[in-house]
Amino acid sequence: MNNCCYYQELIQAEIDRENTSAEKEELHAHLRKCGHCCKEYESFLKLDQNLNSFFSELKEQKLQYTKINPFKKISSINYWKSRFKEWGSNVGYCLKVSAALAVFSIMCLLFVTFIWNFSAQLRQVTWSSPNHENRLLSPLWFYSRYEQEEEFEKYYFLLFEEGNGRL
Amino acid sequence: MYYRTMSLQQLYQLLLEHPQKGFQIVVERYQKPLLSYITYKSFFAGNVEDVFQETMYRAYKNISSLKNPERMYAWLCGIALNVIREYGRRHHLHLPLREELLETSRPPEVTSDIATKISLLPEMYQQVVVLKYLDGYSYKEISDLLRIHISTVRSRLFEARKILRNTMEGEQ
Repeated sequence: MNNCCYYQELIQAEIDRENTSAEKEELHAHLRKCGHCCKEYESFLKLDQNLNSFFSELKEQKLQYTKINPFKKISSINYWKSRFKEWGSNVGYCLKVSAALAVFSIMCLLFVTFIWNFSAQLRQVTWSSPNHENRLLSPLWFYSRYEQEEEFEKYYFLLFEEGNGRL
Repeated sequence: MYYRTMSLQQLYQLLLEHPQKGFQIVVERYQKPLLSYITYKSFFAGNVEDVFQETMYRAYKNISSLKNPERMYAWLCGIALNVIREYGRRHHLHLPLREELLETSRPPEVTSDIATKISLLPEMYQQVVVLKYLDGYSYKEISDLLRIHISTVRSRLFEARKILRNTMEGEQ
């Protein structure tokens, strides 16, 4: 029986055409002697023929598809379009994007107001000063503006005092 | 030439660095067996081209989710199987109705009884049978593709044949 187990493997290999010539001879010598293995071999051979006939039909079908271009769908789908669809369906991502956009727009708004105020101050200084070109070029123009304001306040304070509390 | 002989690990690295180039090599390597697998699996539905295109697209899109490059063929087969199932669900071709479909949609000489018997085999046996009979691969080629030992290929084929033979003899 152990021997037959070994020959079962050889029978499978014989059907699959994987036996060496020595193994083939060995198997056929055994098949001549053993009726059980001979019967097994015939039954497996019959099954192999059935399988081959079924798969030959499929092989014909497969021939139609051998010239399929595997990149057809990949290339036809617009990459960005599909990406946007995915993003659109992803609510979390939309929320993240909208939050980021909101933060960005607030930052932009703050920056614009700062620039606006800054430029307004600049205009005030340059307009109010008689020699505005010098003041603009001087790195101490801001300091000088404060100086001017202080003098202005002092002047009004004096006026206030002279007028006994009335301007 | 180097690209054709590179190991799966190297191919995986290439896929991560240059997805398009890497995927072309994946297609070159696995197109034939994958097409056979899909042709066999879509035997009852006959939607091979759609399934193949969709499988390729999904594989390309999700290539970064491949954890074990050694199982690349099995991964591709898994995607194909999911696509076939989805297609079946969409077109109301549920797996238990396969036999009915077989009887109704194809002429009797083509409706090979053996097709249903093979489809009842465990998935791992089916893969080996398809690679052996449809692609005509040797034990060595099958073992390389499925990353299993040659003796495992041999035993799976043997088991598959035994089951098929027993079911056929049981009917007679």
